[in-house]
Amino acid sequence: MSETGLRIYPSKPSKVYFYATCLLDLLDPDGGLAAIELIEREGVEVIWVEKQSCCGQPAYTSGYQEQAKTVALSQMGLFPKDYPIVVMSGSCAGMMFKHYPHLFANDDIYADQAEAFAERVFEFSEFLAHICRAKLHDQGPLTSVVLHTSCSGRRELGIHASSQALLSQLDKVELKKAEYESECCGFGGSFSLRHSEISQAMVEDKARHLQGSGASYLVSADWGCLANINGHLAYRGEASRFNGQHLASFLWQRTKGAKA
Amino acid sequence: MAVSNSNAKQNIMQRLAAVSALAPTNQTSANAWQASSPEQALARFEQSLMAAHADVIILENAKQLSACLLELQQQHQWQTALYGEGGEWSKVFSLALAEHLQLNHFLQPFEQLKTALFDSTDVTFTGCAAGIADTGTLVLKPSADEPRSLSLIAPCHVAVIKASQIVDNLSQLISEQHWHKGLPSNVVLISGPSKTADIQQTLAYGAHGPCQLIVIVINGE
Amino acid sequence: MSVQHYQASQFKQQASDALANQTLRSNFRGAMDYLQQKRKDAFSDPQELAQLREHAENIRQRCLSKLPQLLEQLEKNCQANGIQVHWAEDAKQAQQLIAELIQSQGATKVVKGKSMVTEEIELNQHLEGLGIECVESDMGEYIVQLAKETPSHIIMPAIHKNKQQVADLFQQHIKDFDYTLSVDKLIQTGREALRTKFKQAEVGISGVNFAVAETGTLCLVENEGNGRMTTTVPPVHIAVTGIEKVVEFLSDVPPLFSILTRSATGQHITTYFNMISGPRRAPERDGPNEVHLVLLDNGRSQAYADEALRKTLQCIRCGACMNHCPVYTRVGGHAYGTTYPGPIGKIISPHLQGLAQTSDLVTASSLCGACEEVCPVKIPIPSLLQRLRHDAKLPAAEQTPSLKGQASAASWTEHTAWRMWAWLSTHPSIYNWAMAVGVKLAKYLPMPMGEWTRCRNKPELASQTFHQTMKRRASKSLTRSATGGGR
Repeated sequence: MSETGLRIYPSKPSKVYFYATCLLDLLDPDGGLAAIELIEREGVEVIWVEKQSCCGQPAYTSGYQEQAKTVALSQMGLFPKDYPIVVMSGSCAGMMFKHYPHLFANDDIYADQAEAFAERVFEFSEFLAHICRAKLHDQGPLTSVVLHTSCSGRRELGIHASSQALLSQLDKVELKKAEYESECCGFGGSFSLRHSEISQAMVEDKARHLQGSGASYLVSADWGCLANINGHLAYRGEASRFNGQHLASFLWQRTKGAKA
Repeated sequence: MAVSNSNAKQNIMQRLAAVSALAPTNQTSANAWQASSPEQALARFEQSLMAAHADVIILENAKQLSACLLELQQQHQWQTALYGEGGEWSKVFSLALAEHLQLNHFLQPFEQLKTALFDSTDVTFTGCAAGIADTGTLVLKPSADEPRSLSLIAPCHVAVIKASQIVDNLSQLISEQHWHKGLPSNVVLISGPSKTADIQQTLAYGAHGPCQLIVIVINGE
Repeated sequence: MSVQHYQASQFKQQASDALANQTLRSNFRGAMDYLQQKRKDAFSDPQELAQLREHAENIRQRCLSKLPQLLEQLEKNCQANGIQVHWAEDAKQAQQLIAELIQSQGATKVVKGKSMVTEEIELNQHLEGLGIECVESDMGEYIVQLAKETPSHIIMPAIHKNKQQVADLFQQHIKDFDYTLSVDKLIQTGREALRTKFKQAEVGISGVNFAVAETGTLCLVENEGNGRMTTTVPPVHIAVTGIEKVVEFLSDVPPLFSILTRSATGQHITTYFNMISGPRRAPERDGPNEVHLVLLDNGRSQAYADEALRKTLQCIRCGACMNHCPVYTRVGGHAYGTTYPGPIGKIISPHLQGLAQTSDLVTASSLCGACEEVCPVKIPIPSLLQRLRHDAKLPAAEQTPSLKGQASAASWTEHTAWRMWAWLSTHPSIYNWAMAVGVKLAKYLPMPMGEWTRCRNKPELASQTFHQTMKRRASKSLTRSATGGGR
């Protein structure tokens, strides 16, 4: 139903750029490494551009479009070849795919560049599922998992099904459903600080619904949501192995050692 | 009309007109429901109305109408009724029921009938201008013959419609009957008895209009 | 009787109070779950929905693109039908105009059908001040009026109350009320009370769902029959509408009507669709002798002036955005302190009240996009919120075109912080160094996280950044290739 659900995917490229995102940079380098391993296992070379920083979304959602444009422009300049850019979070991918063209729509110089750049942006699970068409061979013991899909992944990119498709390939992992699956976790960047009480009500509900699924593990392809949900679980003293991890980490743990 | 009239219109129009060229818009269409046969249309009409809590009675021909009305009267124990004198079925209403209940004609202006309509009318009778199968809808074009309040105020409204009057959807009706050329002072679409879910999302019937809607469909000559 | 007053500028406090009210929260959660399911069931075919949404969006955009011409045409055709047309630039003008219309009849008893635009201009309070009784006749509105409140939802005004609360209210206000929790009996009680009002009313006031320019017709959508009562029984009918409600053709109505009712309450059609094209015409025996139409601007032309913000006016007032909003679901409608709550309220209210009053509303969204996903006319609410956030911060010098309250939330310190952030994010070596130092020192420094830690622990930073990890990985693989090793 999403417009982007109709996106026509290119065939598997030989090389991709890797966009780690600022949250993964600070919180989960191992998740980044796992993603690279998974992509490389598909026979795709991963190019790491060290100069990358942040996609600009925090300024954009706070109303500081000029600052967001400055940062967006610098990021767009870092990936000169026409390789796809694999982004490790739905909301950053959404920023680059949907909002970069929007930010530069009336810009004589950069409008086309932003459009062309957006076309090359793929969220990690989307890339692995639809472009690599990865076949995953589960090596782990029987367990269960619940997936939290980010709102950007779901509504800006229409790719909430790709994480699910990847997880459902793991034949010893039961994919559990949470109530109110499509509802926001309450992060929303600066929203969680400016309207902390409302955000709290949302994350409390989200954590309860996820735990209510009865799954052993929580995964998501978005560190914004995970930082929010994990932070709340820890606050309640319920940080445990249920603590959310990036989809890439989970997939890699379950399938490492298996042949591509 | 002595109403203070400032330059409101002029000022508003000026603000709207100050807007520079507007982007052209796309032409699209949406498909409304269509029946594959008159039987299918009638079936959907009936089902939709019943789903909306209306009672639907299908008669094979118009000759059965009198008996049907009488049976309804006995079943519901109606004492007082009102109908319009110039309606399509008025003669039948009168012949069938005049001897069995107090049957009033809507001849006076509303103001003179208001109290009776609100306080001492059990049932009102009308015909219909058309029916819409898609949504189970009666289309009424009230007139001096069958005024608007006949389908509104009494606790029960009985409407008679011929199956041949039922079209598939509202768009079709508007275009076939050339409504764009002008409409009577009031056209009303009715799709069930009055209802509300304003208290705790619990559906209740008879909020302000009729609590009961009985639709008699004449399926044949 | 003064109405309980909430204000947009007090949003945070009002939201906080609402969050602490467990009854309110459970009333809203229950109601939203119900309405979400109803809508879902009404659109079982996603392709049909997509087609209908696109069509509805195009109709609304076309009609808005011709708004000045269509308003002229509407006025002309209404007048030809015998409907008297009036214009009001703002709430005050509309109040005065309507009061004069009522007073010129010598009337003091008015009934009102459900109309959000008359809530917007606070008509009841104004009329009351003039000694004119104005009774709400929609069941939900009636309940809300008895409670001296305002609607908390644009379609279901009393959605914040449960039946117990309604019964208590009736007990307090309706003579000889036989206390009951039966919804059927409660509705019958309301019916009887309001029938007396309908009989006595000298003027009926309603809103308008669609005003058809082509035929000079006012369309009203409802289930209860109170709208029909209001526009049939009293000798004078005054319809009030925002200028954006005009549609070009009668054929525009069926698709909009269909998507409106299905989006709002999941109904394929409402019980009544009332098309009014004039007062009682001889030899008709009923209907009002006079019909008036009041066309209200009240900030709409401000939204109209800007191509992006104009999309706000596409709204057909179905309420689906609030039904699906995680924020509305938790704080309810009153917290917003605006006539129109929820996502659509956040983008309309800045035009009605100005950005200075409403700047907390435009930030009160996680931008999750649920509202845009269900909007029947595809209003890009999250994008418009971001636009309004920007306008709230924009320095005054950059105003084009002007928006009331623009730059009212500008903050030098915040602006400076974002400038520094942008500078840092565009200087990679310093950025990487800063992040690396940050993760090292985080353990030792008290990192103020402010509101974050109200319900969350601080995020656990990694021992080294991904940038550092990748540097090590690269040097390892260099070592490996130098010694002939590999993965």
